[in-house]
Amino acid sequence: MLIRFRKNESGQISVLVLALILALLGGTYLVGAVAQLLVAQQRLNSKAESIALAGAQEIEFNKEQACDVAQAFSRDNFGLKADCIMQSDSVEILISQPNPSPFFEVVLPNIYASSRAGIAPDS
Amino acid sequence: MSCAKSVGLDEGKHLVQRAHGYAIAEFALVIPAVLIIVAMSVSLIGLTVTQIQLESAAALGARIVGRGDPIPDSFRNSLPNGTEIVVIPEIDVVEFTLISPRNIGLEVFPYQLVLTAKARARLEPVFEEFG
Repeated sequence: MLIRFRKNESGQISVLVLALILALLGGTYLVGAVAQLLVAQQRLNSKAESIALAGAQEIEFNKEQACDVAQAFSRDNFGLKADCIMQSDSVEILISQPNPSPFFEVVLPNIYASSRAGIAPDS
Repeated sequence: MSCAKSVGLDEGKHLVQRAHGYAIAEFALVIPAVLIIVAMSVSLIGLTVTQIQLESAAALGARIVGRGDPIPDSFRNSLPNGTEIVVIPEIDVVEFTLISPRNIGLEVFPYQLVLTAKARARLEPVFEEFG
């Protein structure tokens, strides 16, 4: 019995393109998750800077209270608990918050930011 | 018995499904979908870059206002076009907000997003100079 095989192209591209579209949608979701993480990290960096600067304002005349002022500023304005290290002429701040990106939440449950501010030398 | 030929297939000819060219037709159908997804990703990256710029600029602006300085023109010029600056002073804190409307970047989907960045800074005490 002679059987002729006819080349049937129907569906070849569909499978390939379906895989491509799924990969691209996954890629778009990944881009969105990375974007969310980057923006959150940038916001946290800005918060750490302003908290450190708030504490640094007290260094010149009220050095003992610098960390307390910084932590109160953090708590009142951002709702964050800040770890503060007082150094000879500067204040170092470390803050953290839960990762807002659900994609990276498993591997990176928290994001951190630190900042240091102090009095510039006279020179 | 009628000898009139039927319209369409001749008698004895089997219907043959033509399968050639399907690949090109399907490819032409899905290309726009792929392009839209790629454009969405590129647009998302652009929006993210703008949002990060706004966050950074808001922190800087809050610091400038917190020091008691006026907002310089160079700062205003560095912001994306159409960005609105809102400064809300409180007792010992200033809140600096940047609001920037942005097109999503797709011609076929002219949707506008409003990006907002907010920063707070402690007002620095002003010491009056004597003499």
